[in-house]
Amino acid sequence: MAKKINSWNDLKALYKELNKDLDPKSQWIAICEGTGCRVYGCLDVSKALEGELNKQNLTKVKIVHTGCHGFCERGTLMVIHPEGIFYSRVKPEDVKEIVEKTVKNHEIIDRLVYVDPKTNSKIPYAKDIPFYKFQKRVLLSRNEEINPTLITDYIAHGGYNSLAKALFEMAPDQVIKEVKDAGLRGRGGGGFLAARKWESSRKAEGDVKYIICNADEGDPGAYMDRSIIEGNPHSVLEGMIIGAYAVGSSNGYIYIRHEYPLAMHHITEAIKQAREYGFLGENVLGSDFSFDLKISRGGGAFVAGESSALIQSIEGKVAEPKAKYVHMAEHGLYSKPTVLNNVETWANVPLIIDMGSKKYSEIGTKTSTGTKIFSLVGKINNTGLVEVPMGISLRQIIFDIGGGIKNNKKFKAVQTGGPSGGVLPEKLLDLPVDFDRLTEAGSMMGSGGMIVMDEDNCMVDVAKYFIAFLQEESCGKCVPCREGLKQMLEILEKICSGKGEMSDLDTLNDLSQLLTDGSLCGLGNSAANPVLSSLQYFRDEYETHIKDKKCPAKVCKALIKYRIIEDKCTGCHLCLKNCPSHAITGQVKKLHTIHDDKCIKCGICYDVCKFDAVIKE
Amino acid sequence: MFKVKIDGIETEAAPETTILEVANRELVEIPTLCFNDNVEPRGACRICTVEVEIWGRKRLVTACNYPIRGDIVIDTKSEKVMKLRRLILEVLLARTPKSERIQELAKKYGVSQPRFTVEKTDDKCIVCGLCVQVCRDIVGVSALSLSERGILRKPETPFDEASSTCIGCGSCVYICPTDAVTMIDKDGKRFFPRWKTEFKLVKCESCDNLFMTDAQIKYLKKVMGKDDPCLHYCPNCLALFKK
Ligand SMILES: Cc1cc2nc3c(=O)[nH]c(=O)nc-3n(C[C@H](O)[C@H](O)[C@H](O)COP(=O)(O)O)c2cc1C
Ligand code: SF4
Ligand code: SF4
Ligand code: SF4
Ligand code: SF4
Ligand code: FES
Repeated sequence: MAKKINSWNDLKALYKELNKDLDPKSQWIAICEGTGCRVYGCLDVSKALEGELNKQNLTKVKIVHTGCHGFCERGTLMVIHPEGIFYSRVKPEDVKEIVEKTVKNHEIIDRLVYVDPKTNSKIPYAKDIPFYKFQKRVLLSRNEEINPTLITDYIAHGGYNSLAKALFEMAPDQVIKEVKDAGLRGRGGGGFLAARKWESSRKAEGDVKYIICNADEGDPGAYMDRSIIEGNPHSVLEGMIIGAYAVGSSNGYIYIRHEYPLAMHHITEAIKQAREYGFLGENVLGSDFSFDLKISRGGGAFVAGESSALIQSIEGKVAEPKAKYVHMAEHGLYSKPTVLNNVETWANVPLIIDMGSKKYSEIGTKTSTGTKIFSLVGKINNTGLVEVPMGISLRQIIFDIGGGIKNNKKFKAVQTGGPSGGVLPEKLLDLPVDFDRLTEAGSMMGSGGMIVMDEDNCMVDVAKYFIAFLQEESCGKCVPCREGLKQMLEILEKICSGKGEMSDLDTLNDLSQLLTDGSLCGLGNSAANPVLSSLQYFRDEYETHIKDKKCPAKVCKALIKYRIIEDKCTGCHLCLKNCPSHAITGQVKKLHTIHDDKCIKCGICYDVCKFDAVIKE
Repeated sequence: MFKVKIDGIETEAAPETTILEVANRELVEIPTLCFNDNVEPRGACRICTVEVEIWGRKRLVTACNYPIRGDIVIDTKSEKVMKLRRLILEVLLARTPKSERIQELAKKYGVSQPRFTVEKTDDKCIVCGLCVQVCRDIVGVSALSLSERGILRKPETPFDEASSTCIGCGSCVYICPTDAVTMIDKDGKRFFPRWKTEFKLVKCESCDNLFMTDAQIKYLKKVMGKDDPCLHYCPNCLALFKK
């Protein structure tokens, strides 16, 4: 049983104790054991490494089982310190060689070194890899160094010192002022000033006040919050405890998606250990402030992440949004003053207290301070979680960190802000990533989704995809969102199938207005973004679908045809054999033909033909 | 008291008064669908949207549940409001073309033919949720709930089967703004086609008129904790007795 920490001095003493044998030259190996790398079998790599080190009597070399490093597509990731040698796609079979060569002889194994897809050069050290080099990982950097299931790892890296500083050196109002001066804005979507919410809640009357962490993360493909909770759960707890102290709350909730088993496990363990050490519970760190929190499991609906729906869900009711004419800061959970912030927002709080608002606000832009984590995906060379200073341009994220577009294709658009964000064209690539600038451009920061699209993406099809997602996730409570999205989707389907009319574009605009002005909650209010932004920046694509009945990107099935060109067809028979609907005829070594009446446009012939004889038109 | 100006009329309102309450008092007409005095406003249909200016900012809010918390200027017929109402009615008309209430409102706002595919349905339900609310909050039996989500959302009995808790009181019928729930009293029985339920009607012990379902009597007896003349005689006869 751990010793309860009863004062700041106790904490400082433990910090010293944990760091006393620290030798900057000592060898240690970080293995990413986040959800992403687990898919690639990182646990087997860990086991093999442990076995090999034991076998070779290298027990001095410490293995740190860490959370997500962000470069998930290249799992399993392994970083060998003190040099910081970065190996990716490591398999259990590689371990023996790693120990033999790299651990024992500091030799770099070429095969496991990262190759930059842009320059084709080999980059052995993590710090030099463009994916990492251009990031500013103030939140995620700890993920690479600590074992998230050990509170002592967090403390050894200075964890909970901000809490002690707040408790013993700052009055609650000072904490709020610090967060205000830091300019911290909510990372969950809206970008509200965190301190403003805290202040209202502090001022609101009531003996019971609540602090909630929104870890519902429903955006498809986004996993920034999951990574923080999995990789550094105590940073979220510490932020919440500081927030609770500032607001005057003694009860909190973490509302977490049930599909996140590892995050759930790590946060549960973190709460348990934080209690044992006295960071949670009665008289936190021996002060007269008490705070504890509970976990509440989210059911998985996208809309449950919306603040008023989330509160209803914690109360055991159906997660359905409600009018927010009365602020949560006064009447929130169980009608008590409540502060709700996103995981990433909370994780920034200890950092602000530690750095001081002045230094913190130097990161980023004037109105968007600090960093933002994005989930960078799509037609890009390097995908993964990236943390960047606000104000960085989209171009830098996509081309420097992301390594540019895959297969030398041409960039077409980037969608930011999750399903209800907007698509931004090439001419806006130099737009600084900042809450207000993204909104002005017709998109939004959202919670940090970033999907890169190339010339092969049809923008009408993209809009259709997001509207389909949103109509699926709409709770159906209010008329504009429930009925408006359905009609919008029907029109987009009509356009994609070549039956669109020019007047449909006006109708789409009207429906957008219905959604934006009429909907009850943020889902409906922002749902028109994919349509409005694509109409604004890619109107010509809509018009080509409608007027010429053509899909310029050749995506919309109803508007394309597959054809075999005479010059190239060798009559190899491959397409014919693979066609699922017997739409191809032809004799061996003679020209083959596709019969449109039978073709279901599956594209298999196009993919299998080795002579590029099948074309889409 | 806050200063309120609604469509040019200057008046006052106590804190927490809703815009709809002020409008009703000042005889300013605001259309409503999902609002009913007896239950908490859900703000679901959005037809009551008005444009307000408060704390120097203009915004659209729903009159039925917006509590006045400061001096406010309300425009119930601004261009934005009228356009929004027309759009709401246009999508509703496509969804429930047979609803007289929607037809009537649509006509009033100049919406004739929706630009969308009109559903081929006789269902008049606009999924306002009032039936669910009245059954849960006023009757107290929660025989109904809103199931599914998005476009599939609808009021339903559990598993869409005859509910074991429904007492056949008909409150859902009276509250439905679009007559989407019907109740048929026939051959000593009461049917609710929408809820797939059927009840036996009981005769008034004095006039022999059928006046309540057996389930209602049983439920009321339980709630009241005792037998009562109102469970034996119809309201008319009871009134006569009192005289
Ligand atoms: C449909 C919808 C889904 C949302 N989902 C999330 C979510 O998964 N996580 C989150 O933090 N915020 C989500 N939000 C935003 C929350 O309503 C809320 O603004 C946020 O949690 C507040 O925290 P912040 O100020 O720290 O961003 C969602 C909003 C909407 C409208
Ligand atoms: S906007 Fe959509 S998700 Fe939000 S309350 Fe209305 S129907 Fe539900
Ligand atoms: S696209 Fe599919 S169905 Fe059409 S010819 Fe090629 S393989 Fe056959
Ligand atoms: S008739 Fe049944 S469903 Fe309708 S309100 Fe009465 S108890 Fe509820
Ligand atoms: S049946 Fe009537 S009261 Fe019930 S949800 Fe539908 S429209 Fe509303
Ligand atoms: S009457 Fe106000 S939203 Fe329906």
